[in-house]
Amino acid sequence: MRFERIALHSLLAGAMLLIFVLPLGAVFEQAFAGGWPGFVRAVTSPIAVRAFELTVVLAVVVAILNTAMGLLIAVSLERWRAPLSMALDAVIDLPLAIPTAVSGLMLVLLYGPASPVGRWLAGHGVSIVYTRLGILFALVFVTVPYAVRALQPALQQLDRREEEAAWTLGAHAHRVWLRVILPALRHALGSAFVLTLTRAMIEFGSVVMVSGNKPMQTEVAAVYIYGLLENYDQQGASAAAVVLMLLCAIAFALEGSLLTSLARRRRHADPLKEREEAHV
Amino acid sequence: MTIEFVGVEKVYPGGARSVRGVSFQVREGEMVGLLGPSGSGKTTILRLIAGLERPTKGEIWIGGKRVTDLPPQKRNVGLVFQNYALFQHMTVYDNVAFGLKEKRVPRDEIDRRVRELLGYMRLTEYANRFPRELSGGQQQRVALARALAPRPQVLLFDEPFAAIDTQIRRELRKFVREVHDELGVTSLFVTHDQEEALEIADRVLVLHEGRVEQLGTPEEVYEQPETLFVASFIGESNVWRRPVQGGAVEVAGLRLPVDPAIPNGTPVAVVVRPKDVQLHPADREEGQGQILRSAFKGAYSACFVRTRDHEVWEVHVPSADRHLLSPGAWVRMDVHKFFVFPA
Repeated sequence: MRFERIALHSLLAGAMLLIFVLPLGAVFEQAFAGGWPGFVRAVTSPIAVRAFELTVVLAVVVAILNTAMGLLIAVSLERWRAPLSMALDAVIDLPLAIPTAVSGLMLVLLYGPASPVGRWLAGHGVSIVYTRLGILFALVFVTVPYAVRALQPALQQLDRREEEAAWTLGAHAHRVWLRVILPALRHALGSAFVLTLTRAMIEFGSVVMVSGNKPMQTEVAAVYIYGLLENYDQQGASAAAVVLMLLCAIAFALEGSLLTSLARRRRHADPLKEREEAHV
Repeated sequence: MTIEFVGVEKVYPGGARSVRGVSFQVREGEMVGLLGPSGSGKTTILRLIAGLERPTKGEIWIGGKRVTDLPPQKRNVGLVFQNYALFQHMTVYDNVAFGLKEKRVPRDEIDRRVRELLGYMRLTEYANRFPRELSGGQQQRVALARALAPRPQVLLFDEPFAAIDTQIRRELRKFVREVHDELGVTSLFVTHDQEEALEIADRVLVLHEGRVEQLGTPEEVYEQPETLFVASFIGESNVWRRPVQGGAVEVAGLRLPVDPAIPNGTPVAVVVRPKDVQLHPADREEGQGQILRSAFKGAYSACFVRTRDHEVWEVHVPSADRHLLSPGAWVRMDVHKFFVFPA
């Protein structure tokens, strides 16, 4: 029994070492191969800074869009029972099931200059493929299931009687959403936001197909890292990878601390005391 | 405020008929208990009053105003749920203040009203707690304070004490009755616990399969049941189905007279309350039944008697006379009162 347990623990420790620790160690080791100045130089080059900026801005926009869209889809699946909700429920996981490069390819084929839709859009002054708008489309498509699936269980668990109580207390539908439903979903909304944010920041396959990868214009961090690696700049690629990982870690940490501080603030805000102080 | 139902029907999508042509009137300041088994439509009636359901047919009036098509926001009705349905992300204070904020009551007045209610409900020290940090009884008091805050014209309770321990439940229902008496607000509460309904309601509305069986005081529904269902559902009863023979029904060797207009052979149900039977010691020959066993219930003992027809009667005997009733003893039975209904 004891031997089996030791064997199991060793196996797990070995797997962790192989899958996480060693590769991460290799990245950090390479990133700081040129010391701190080398690392700073690599991640503050104008192209790198622009790639990080674009990555963060696009990821934030995508996270906002998809959290809202995810909520809308989850509500239509759980509450409205729309006629096509069964089909929608099945389709929503499609971006998870197909390779992201194929998602990118689909967008290129649909909106590319050679397609009728692309030509029509170009005729109206809108180009999607090989622009930031294209990256946005790709990221929205690839990350939307994360938002929906993060919100759906939370919606299922909501107690409808809380909403009914709010109605009888005089709250109209939009007020019930604002004051009862959305606050009750805040953890799920936070998770949906962070999941789509981090997933958008690290997305590679679909973006590499639609972005055109023009440095300073449409090159996001993941593609920038790939480009550096292709040019045998392992140190630069690793340094950029460390920054990208740091950005994701910050997103997760922010979510955690935001939720804790929200809970703490509510906990310590004593309405009676506050009013008493105000009266004094 | 008075509440009136006029021929109200509720058919759910899919055809399930929950309320069938219900009409009744609740008087101003009255506390009415809606009593019935599961599926009798009592919760639906409450939801219809609150505006959470729309009737398929019929009209609902509150305080002389037709509210049939009015949304719940405009009915000024307070609702207390079985599971409390408190807003989990809000403190006790914010829960109670919710309805007042929705009505755009000035901040100072909200504060005054919330403090007043928290004090009244003995919840002042819990103002800053979240619902999950309170006991079931405390949560139910918060739910009551929240419902009372906007000064509703009608107060509705949906099985309010079902999820609470017996001891606390007794205290809480006494408290709810006191609150009702002090505020004088017309109240309706749903329960399947007849002891609860008979104890705190001014009148009881007995429901069965979506229909009103009887609306009356606790004494009326117990002592003068209008239907077989009410007679057998409220309190303990012995129910025997027999055909009428010569203006009487024969039960356990007794001839109980019925309305002479009922033709011979008509099947009827005879209902006898256990308290309306008196037992007398008898010998084997004249005895109508034999004592099977008896159970001590405090002030009385529930005694089970097997008749010569092998039917078992429940009879309540004052506990002081319990020693006379040893199992196997033969007894004679006197029936003081009984009800006869079409079977």
